Amino acid sequence: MSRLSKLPEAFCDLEQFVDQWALDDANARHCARLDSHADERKQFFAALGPRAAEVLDYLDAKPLDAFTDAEENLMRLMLSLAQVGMAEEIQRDQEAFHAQYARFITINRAVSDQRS
Amino acid sequence: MNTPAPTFQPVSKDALASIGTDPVPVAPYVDPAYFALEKEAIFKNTWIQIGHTCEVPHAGDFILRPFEAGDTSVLITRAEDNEIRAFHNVCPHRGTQIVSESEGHKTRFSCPYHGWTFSNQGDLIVAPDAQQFYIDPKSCQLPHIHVGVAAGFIFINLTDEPEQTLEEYLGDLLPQLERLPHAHATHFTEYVYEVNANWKLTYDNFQENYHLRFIHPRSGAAAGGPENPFGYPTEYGFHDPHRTQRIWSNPNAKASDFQAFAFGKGARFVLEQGYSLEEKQYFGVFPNLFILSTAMTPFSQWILPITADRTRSIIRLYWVGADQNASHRFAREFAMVSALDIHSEDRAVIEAGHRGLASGALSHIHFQAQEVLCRHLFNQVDQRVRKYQAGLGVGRS
Repeated sequence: MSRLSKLPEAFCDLEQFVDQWALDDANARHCARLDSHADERKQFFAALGPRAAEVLDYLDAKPLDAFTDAEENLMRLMLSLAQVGMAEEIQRDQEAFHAQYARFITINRAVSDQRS
Repeated sequence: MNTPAPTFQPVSKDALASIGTDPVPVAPYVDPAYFALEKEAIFKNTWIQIGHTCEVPHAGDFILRPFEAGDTSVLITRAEDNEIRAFHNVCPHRGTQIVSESEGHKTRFSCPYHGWTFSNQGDLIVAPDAQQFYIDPKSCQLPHIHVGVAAGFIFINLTDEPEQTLEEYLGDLLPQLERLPHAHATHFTEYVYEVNANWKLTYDNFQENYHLRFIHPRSGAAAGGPENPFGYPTEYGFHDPHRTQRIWSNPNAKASDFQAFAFGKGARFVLEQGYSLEEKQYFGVFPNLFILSTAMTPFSQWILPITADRTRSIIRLYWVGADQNASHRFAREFAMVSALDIHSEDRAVIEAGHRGLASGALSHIHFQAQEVLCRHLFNQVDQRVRKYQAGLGVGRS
């Protein structure tokens, strides 16, 4: 793996999504969903959604506290996928309507914020 | 449908009529004078949840929580004797608020104004130039608040002498709460929002399912179905001043592919920890807390009145143990997102309800039988307000 890789080699084709979606904490991911364009969510979900099981199988092979930075990025993409999956599969064409009210909510802490 | 579904029967209107059938007055939901009475009669007069033991796991940990309806901010400490204590965040010298951080690890707290310093058991340790005082500063402690712990939750009671212990207050709810993941939580996820609405209107939104099909047609789809289109609960329980309901869910609901994937990832951990996926009990703990026993989203909502027309909701998902691996972390994040999406959908209608009532256009509102928990909250509040007024000799009737 190249030192510059943002993601594990098997998932390097997803690197284009890292800057927008591999964010530090749950509130940042919540805001990224609300600030995103419909096309951005669609592309992200289309690329990572079908690989979600493969990604988790890969990450589950290691304890969370042993992740490399690239693996941590991949984990964070999956956590953003939880947000984007709700937008794409449940809210669908109502996501923009939903977002205007979701903006009033702040995630103060999430168990996922702890990088062990 | 291919398989005939069992016929759902909501709890009958007649069976619920004992909680009341009359229209309910609007004023208690909007009137600042009524809110002032609620603060005295209820929020300063009974057990109020203020936090969770997992927020102060170690000796020396503290949290500070604003409690507007009690006109105070509350310092919770765990001292070296492992006892959890609660204090008003007020220096007994001249009343200055001492602590400003919302949480941390400190065994001593110093007032920023004149340096009076207290232990985390509330005792005064240092008062600079103490000989200038006309009293013995050693007799000055942080003002103590009664505190109790039940099912992992920390409660306070601002009265001088609580009429009931916390255990007596929770009564037959307590053993049920002690079985929940919340009682054993080591971690939590928290999100918060404020609405321009009275606290009871905010709470009521989460006490009836009549609105689900209108406000949550997508995110709440599994809560209703052909045999129970409004998603009414299967039973209600009245444990004055508290209340319960058993949530119905559609056995034939079709989860989306991604929901099913996330649910599958999380279910294994819930079962491994010995919790049932069938748990669907709702506990309304008077006055301003409700808890859902669902093991995939072990949830509490804490409804904090700020003013008569402003309310803060703090929603927590309580987790037993840290995330075990990536799948576990992903499943918990998805549970949080699912709950948050539903909350965001409720916001507009809660505020619209308050604005409508504040217009003065109505003198009364109407609760149908399946809104009985809203009526029960109103009854319990109003009884206490009336009793308090009677004690003041200014009863309304």
